[in-house]
Parts: sequence; structure tokens; C-alpha cells
Amino acid sequence: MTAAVNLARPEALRRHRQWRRWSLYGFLGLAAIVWVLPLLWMLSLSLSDNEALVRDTTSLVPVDPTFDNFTTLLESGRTPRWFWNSVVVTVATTVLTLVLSSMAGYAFARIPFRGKRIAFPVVLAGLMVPKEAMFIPLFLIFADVGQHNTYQALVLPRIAAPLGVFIMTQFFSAIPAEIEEAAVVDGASRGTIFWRIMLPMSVPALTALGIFTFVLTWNDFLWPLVSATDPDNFTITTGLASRQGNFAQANALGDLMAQGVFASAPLLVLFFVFQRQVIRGISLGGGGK
Amino acid sequence: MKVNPISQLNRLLLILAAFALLAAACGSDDDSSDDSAVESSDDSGSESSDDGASDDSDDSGSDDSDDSGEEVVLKFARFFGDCEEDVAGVTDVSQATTECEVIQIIENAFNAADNGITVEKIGGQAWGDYYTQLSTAFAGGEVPNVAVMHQHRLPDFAGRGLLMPLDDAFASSDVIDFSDYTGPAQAAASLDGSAYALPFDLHASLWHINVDIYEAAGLTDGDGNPVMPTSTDDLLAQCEAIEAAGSQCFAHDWFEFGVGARLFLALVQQQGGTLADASGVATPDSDEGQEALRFLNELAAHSDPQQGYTDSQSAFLNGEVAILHNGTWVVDQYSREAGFNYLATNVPTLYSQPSTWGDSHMWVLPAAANEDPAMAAASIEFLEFLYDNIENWAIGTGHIAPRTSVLTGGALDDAPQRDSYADTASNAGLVPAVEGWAGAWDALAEELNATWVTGKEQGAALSDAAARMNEELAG
Amino acid sequence: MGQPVTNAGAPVVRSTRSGWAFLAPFLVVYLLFVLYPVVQAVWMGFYERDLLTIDRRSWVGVDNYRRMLWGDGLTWQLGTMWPWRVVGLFAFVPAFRAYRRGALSIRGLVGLGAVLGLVFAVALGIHPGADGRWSDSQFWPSFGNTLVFVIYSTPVIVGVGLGLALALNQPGRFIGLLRTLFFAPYVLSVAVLTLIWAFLLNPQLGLIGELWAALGLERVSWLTDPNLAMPTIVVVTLWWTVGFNIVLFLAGLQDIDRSQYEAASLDGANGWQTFWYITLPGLKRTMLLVVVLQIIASFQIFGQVFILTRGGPNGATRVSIQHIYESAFRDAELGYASAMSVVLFVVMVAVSALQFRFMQGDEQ
Repeated sequence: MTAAVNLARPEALRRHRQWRRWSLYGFLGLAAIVWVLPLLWMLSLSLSDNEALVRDTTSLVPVDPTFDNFTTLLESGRTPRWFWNSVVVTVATTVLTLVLSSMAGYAFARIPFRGKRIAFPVVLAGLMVPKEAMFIPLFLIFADVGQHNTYQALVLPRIAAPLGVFIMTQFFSAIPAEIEEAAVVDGASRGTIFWRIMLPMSVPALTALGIFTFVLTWNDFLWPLVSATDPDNFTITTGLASRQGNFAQANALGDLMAQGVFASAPLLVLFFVFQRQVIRGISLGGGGK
Repeated sequence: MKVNPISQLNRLLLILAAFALLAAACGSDDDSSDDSAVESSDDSGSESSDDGASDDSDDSGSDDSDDSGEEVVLKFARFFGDCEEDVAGVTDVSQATTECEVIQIIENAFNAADNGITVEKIGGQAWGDYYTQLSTAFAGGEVPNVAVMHQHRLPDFAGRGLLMPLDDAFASSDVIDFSDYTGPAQAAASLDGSAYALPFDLHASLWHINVDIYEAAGLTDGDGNPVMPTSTDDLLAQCEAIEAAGSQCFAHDWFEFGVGARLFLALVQQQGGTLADASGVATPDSDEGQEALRFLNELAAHSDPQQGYTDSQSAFLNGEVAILHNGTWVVDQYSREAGFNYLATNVPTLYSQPSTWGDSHMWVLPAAANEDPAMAAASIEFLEFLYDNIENWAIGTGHIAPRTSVLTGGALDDAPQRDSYADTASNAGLVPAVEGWAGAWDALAEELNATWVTGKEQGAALSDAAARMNEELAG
Repeated sequence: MGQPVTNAGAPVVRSTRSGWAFLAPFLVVYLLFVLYPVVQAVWMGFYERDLLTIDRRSWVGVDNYRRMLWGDGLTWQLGTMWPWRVVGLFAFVPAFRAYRRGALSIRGLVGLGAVLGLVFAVALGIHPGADGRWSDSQFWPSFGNTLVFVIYSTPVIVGVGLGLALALNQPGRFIGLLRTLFFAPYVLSVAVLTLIWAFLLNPQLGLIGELWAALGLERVSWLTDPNLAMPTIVVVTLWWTVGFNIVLFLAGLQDIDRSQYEAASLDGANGWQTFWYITLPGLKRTMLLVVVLQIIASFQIFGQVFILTRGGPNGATRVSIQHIYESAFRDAELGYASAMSVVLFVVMVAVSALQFRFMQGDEQ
């Protein structure tokens, strides 16, 4: 296509490129709207009356519009507490995961050390164990020291994430070796290299890992369910789930959707704020030729 | 090398990290660490005071007790949802509008009374996960003092000796009269002749009828009451009439929650058969089972096998269906919401004896949490309170009271529809009390569903069901 | 397994200390909270252990494995499952060509050939005879369903992720908004996800049913048709999780040198050539990451299938993790569930090892 346009006529080339760009944008925009239709529907249901929904759920526009589902949610005195629990646990988990994963990833990607050939597979193997199998032994570890119903029980099992190490290892290995070698020649220690070179150059990867960890920790259900059994210690996921009666999806659909909106909205906002960091950062001149 | 974005990010991360770790360190001091589930803890002070103070949120773990020294705290696990906030301070059960509110108000009333015991609800889960959480609690050794349990799960826990036998407690109690329970209820609560639970209700399948459609089809008697079929052919004939009048004859959840299997159970038992023989071997492929499956598939032709729980209910409430096979828990809801002449009635006897699927919500006492006689006594006292409130539960929820004196005593007269399905109290047929039944039931439901959803051959479905059920029961 | 690229020539002794120093914080937490439970779980696979009375246990050795993998009255036939077997044996062809190219040693070729032969020519021929049955009638079907899901979902979710990442790899507020929209489903919890889709897919109550009716088509029961259920689950999973791949690919695209693109366009390369010769090679590490993660995630799929179909219709969507979960928590058979997890783990390790070997082999 580009080849068909004569380079000797930059006007035409520019217009052609603009046309292509705008049609791409248009197509993407349309695709995006279709993509989020289910979410729009969820929003609509959350603003609909429960009893009306028992009869009709096929409308994109709220049926018997009402804010009741949200006010019921917010009236619960415990909801802010649950939200706070989620925030603390998720932020702590995300930060600690980033720290541990980036350090380990740097070691695997850039430091030749004895035992690496064994350590790396052992770490990756942790990705491949079904969580359901480890669940009970992990539960017993905390039960034996009476540490359930605590923040640390919710944070500690999650921060040694093989996923994080794998991601950081791959992205650190993509950073050209010459930059690091130059710093070594200048006498920089590994710590300095890590802090001033590796981390800044992997902002996209760190952002990506941070986002994933945040979302996965926020939405974690089964572990907080069995570990934090005191109603004050629920996270927002288990707390909202506890408010459901039986057959809630048949009789209280509006409530359920409102809970879903409430629990997901912060994550969406967070993503929108941070997603720029994923594509930013590497106009760092490129280390190579 | 540009460092601006990373410094920004760095700083943000450092602030967040410090903040989160600080919050985590401070926060965990507030949490009541749960390692004393078994001891009677003194630090609950006098919560839930009876002047209606509604600040339940400092219910757990407040250490500033001017305690009476003898306050016993019971850990209480149940499903039914969490609505503590919605009815905080309310102790009048007539104000309840949902299942959750009824039991919560009962709890509030118990806590408000001057008995030296405080009940604390633990755990929070959507319905499906209750047993995951309870099983994990048993595995971890921190079990509640009082827990709710379905009849079909009792053998798993009682059979392993995890529950405190209650015969002695019932015998010496001034409040609880076990013989007041109906036959099915007593059977539900017992294993090998010993009682392990206090039944709170019987919840069973009913037929919910759109009387207007019955009338349009010419199937009502002189008083306008619908005429219930007395045989399978009778029902099929009724379906023809209903369809001629333009409505769908029958609906229920054909594949989502195993309701089809419940009707199968009912039909088998109506023929005098059982799903498991005396030695605990599953027998879905008995003659009765084959007939029941044959008829269910015929009935499916007068229904819509692609309807699950939500859509069958939706179709019924929209006035499209004559008969909805659902449970006792929706009676009050339908009474409120149906825009037509609505009747809830017993599942008719289509073979030789009356029967319908039933289960029971019961209260059990995990043995490990009640070894201390003081705790056990407190738990029993709570059970006695629950026993006295069976009436309120039945009125508030539509479930059937399992006590004869409540059923005949007139307490339920004002609740809608209760008379029309009163027979179910004695007709309810429970699933066999066999360990491992949950897995067997799932296998049965899946095989049955295969016949009307995917057209699997009925004989093969039943023999596969038998094989799989016995695999589950043996494993 | 694979080896990450390292610096050549750096002093090794000091590196070993600093290497372990950087690894230590992670490793300590990992050993305590990941490895130790895993080892315990593996060990439990040799016992019969009841979830509810967890202190009691009895040693059964490999009985759990026998029960899982074997049965009574099994026979062997050439014709059983022959399409799968023929396809599997065909995998020998690219291996042979790799050998001819020199990318694969003779030992590797023989080894691969032996494995393929064992699995496809021999193992797949085993099945219950007339009066026989597998000891666990659900294990192999759920394993088969899991494999099917992995095979369907991996190319789809990786491919769509890559395509969208390429399209969204531009600065700008509007594109940022589009990125957020395509990623948005990922923030939903599994409970909300399945709630939305259960209703959407419902032939009577859902938007899709309405759309179908509006188009004059007969209403389709997506989740209760044995042929459509698994593909439907793939679509739902795609909608939910493709955001993960998009973000990883976006991050990976940043590492490709811009100057290469400029040089290419000056040379008159069109879009496809740019993609094939510059973008794709530049994404190699990311591609390995995404594909390995996708396959592992697909092997461990559970939540959305369980809630949407409960494994139905007629077991068509029962996956391995569901079987493990039900064994552990519904049937209280902790030992058996652990043994099944070990088998699943071994399969995942084998598949990942192969991937590392073939996708990163050139980097050695």
C-alpha cells in the first residue's frame, strides 16, 4: 500500500497515511464499543430495580431506574472497612511483589551465579502448581501459628510470585548489555546498576506487573474467604459476597451488579491512570545501533 | 538518560509502600486473631446491649471490656447472607423481610437477652462456598460452636465423629422436645439412631400454580380451585388442555441446580422405590428409576428443557406457565409479585404414594469446639432459643416448620399459602443418608440432565449414573 | 528448562554472592509459602488423607495414581481415537525437518520420536473393554477437555492479544481510552464475569438471544449445547483475559528499536514485511513469555467454567481443576486431589520445557 504511493508526492503520502490512521481509529473505536457492551449492560442492570429485573433482563437501558442498589451498598457500615482492607492488602502485596520480583528477575537476567540453572526452573515451577492443591497446606501453615484473620496472612503467600519473576527476567534480558557493561567499567556496584539503570529502563514491565498483581490480588476470593473469617476482616470481594442471599442472581440481580460495579470501578480508574506508563519510557535513545 | 518518569514512579511507589506497610502493621493490631475459637473469651464485654444501640460494628474484638467475667462467646457459622447492618438493634422478628433478616433478628434477640452468652457470626460467603469454608475450618482445627448444615451433608460430618451427639442434651432439656418433630425431620437429624442436629425447617419442592391458566384450560372445580392430577396420564392430559389454551404447561430448572434430579427422586419415591438400597449402594437404574426418567422426558416435551432456574421463574412470574416446580423459599416472594391468581401446593401424587424432594436446615454442634462443658451448655442454650423460634422462621421464610405442634397450633394461620402445602411436612422425602452423597447426587443430576438436554439414551444414562454414583460413594 | 541471557565475562565469584543476594528476599518467601506447601501437597499424594479429619492419614503409595490413570478390564486397539493419533504422529515431520536443518541433534530426534510413539501410537490405544471401566471415570475426560481448551484458546488469545497490542501501540489520549476499554474486562472478578455472561448467553433472558431473534435466527443455547459449550467458554475467556496479553505485548513492543522501523519504511517495506521481519523477531522474548503463561493459565482454567456450566452439559466442559477441586472439597479426598495435581503439574512442566527448548533454543 505504501509502496503504491509515489514518494515524490509527499502531500498524497501524508493524506493517505492520515486516512489510514483515521479509519483504523474508527474501526478500533467501534470494536471497543462492542467489546464493552457487556459492561455497559452491567451498569444498566446495576441501576435497575431488583423486582423488575426478575421479569426482564434484556434491556440496555435501566429498567425502573433507581440508585437503591448503590445506596444499600454504601449504607452498610462495614463496606468502607472492607474497602480499606482490600486497599491495604492489595497495595502492600503489589509493592512487595514488585520489589521481590524485580530483584530476583535482575539476578536471573543479568548476574551469572552458581546454581542459577537450577534456581530458575525451580522458581518457574511454582507457576505450574494448581493453587487448589497448595491451598490446604498453606492454610494449615497459618492455622498452626494462629495467624489467620490478619493482614500478613493475606499478603505473604502472594508476594513470592513466579509470574513476577518470569516477567521481569524476560524484560531485563531485553535491555542491551552494553549499557550495563559501561556502568560496570565506571565502577558502579550491582545495586547502583539495578536502581539507576535497570529499573528506569523497565518501567513498562514494572507497570504491567504492578497492574496484574493489583487486579489479581483485589479480586482474590477463595483465600480471603477461608483465612479472614471475622466479618471485620473481609475484603471487599468476600464482604460483598457475604451479603448475598440464596438464588441472588434470580432475585437481587440489581444488587449483585451494583456490587460488581463498585468493586471493579477503582481498578478501572487505576488502569486508566497507569496504562500510559506501559508505552512510555523508551525514547531512551536505544542502547544499540 | 531520562529519569523523570522513573523518579516520579519511584517516589509514588515508595510512598505507597511505606503507607501500606505502616497500615498493615497498625491494622493487624485491631484484628482479633482467631486462635482462641475454642476458649470462652472474656473480652467481649457487654455488646449488643438491649437498649437498641445499633453500633454492631464494634462487635468483634473490642478489647475494652468491663466484662462480667462470665460472658461466653459462641462462634456461629451460617449461610443465608449477611444483613447485620440492615437490622441492627432490631429484635422484633415480624419486621423481617428476607431469610437473612429473620435469622439475624433472632440472633439479635438472643444477644439482647440477659443470658451471659454472646453469639458472633463468623465467615462470609455466597451460598455455594459455605461447605468449602466449613470443611477448611474443620481441617484447620478452628471450628465454630454452632453451625448450620443441610440434611444431605450430615452423614459426612456425623459419620466421621465430628459432631456432638445430642440425644442426652435433648433428653435433659426443658425446652426441646424431640418427639415434637415430624417423622421426616427426626430422620433428617439422625444417623444410626442418634440425633446429631436440631432441625430448623423442612424445605421442599412444591408446585406453584397459575390458577388463571388452569381456569382458562377448564381445569378448575366448582369453587375455582385447580384440580391436581392424580396420575401421570392425567397430568399429560392436563398439559394438552393447557397448551390448547395457549400457555406453557410445566416449567422448572432443567439443568442449573439439579431440580430435575429432585423431581426424579420424588417420582421414584412415589412409586415406593429408593435411590439407594439398605447397604448404601446407589440404585437409580431400578425399575422405578427407569419409569421416572421415562416420564420426566415425556414431561420435558410439554416444557422447555433449555430453561434454567432464573428463566423458568421469570416465565412463571410473567404469566406464561401453568405449573412451576420450585421450592418453599419463594412462596412469600411469589405471593407478593405474581400478577395473577397464585397457589402453592404439594407436588401431586402421580404414582402410588405421596412424596416430594425435601431437605432440612439444621443446627449442629462441632465436637471440637464444644468439649468444654461450659461451652457446650451455652451452645445448647442457643439451640433451645432457636427451637423456640422455629415458628418465626416458618412464618418469615415459607419453609415448613418441622414441629408438629407448630404446624397444628395455628401460629402459621396468617402466613400466605401455608395451608395449601401443609401435607408436604409429612410427605417430604429426604435423600438417602449416606456418606459421600453430595458427589453422587452431582453425578446423578448430570446424567439425568444429559437425557433431556442433549438427548442421551435413557438406559445408558441410568447405568452410567449408577456406576458413577457408586464410584463416588465408595471413594 | 531455558536459560536467560547472561553477561559474558563478568567475574563469577563476586557475582555468585551478589546473585544470591538479589535472589534471597524472593527466595525466602518463596520457600516458605510456595515451595513448602507444594512439597507437602506432593507428599500427600502418596496418602489417603481425609480433608475433614486431617490428622488421620494412611499410606497408600501409588494407589492414588493407579486409581487415577488406570482401571479394570482395559484393552488396546489400533483404531481407538485414530484421528488424534495420526495428528500426533505427524508432529514427527517438523521435528525431522529441524534435524535436517541442524537445529535438532540425532539424540533429540530419537528421543522425541520415542515419546511421540509412546504417547500416540501406544498409550492412546488403551481404553476400557466390554466389561471394563476406568477406576476414575472422570479423570481422562476432564484431562481431555483441558487439552482441548488449551489447544483452542492459546492461539486465539495470543493472536488477538498481539493484534490488538499492535493496533494500540500509539500515544494519545484517545488510544489510551481504547486501551482501557479493551483491558477493562480483566478487572472483573470471576463472580461478576460469570454473572454477566450467564445472562448474556441465556437464550431467553440475554442480549445475545435478543440479537439473534432480531436477525431472524433461531435462539441458540450456547452453554447447554455440547458442541458449542467449550468454544463459548473460549470466547468468554478471551473477552476476560486478553487484556493481560495486550499489556505484555505492548510492553514488549517498547523494546524494539525505533530506528529499525524507520530504516524499513525508507526501504519501502510494507506493513506485513515490517511485521514479519522486524516486529515479530523483536518480540521473541515477549512471545515466549506470553505463550508459556497462556498455556499454563489455560491448563489451570477453572473458575468461569465451573460457575457457567458446572462441567456440563454431560461433562463436556469438565476440566481437570474442577475434578481436583471437587475431590478435595466436596468429596474430602485430599490425598487423591494432591496426586491429580501432581500429574497436571508434570504435564505443564513437560509442555513448558518443550516450549523453552524450541522457542528460546536459538538464544543459547
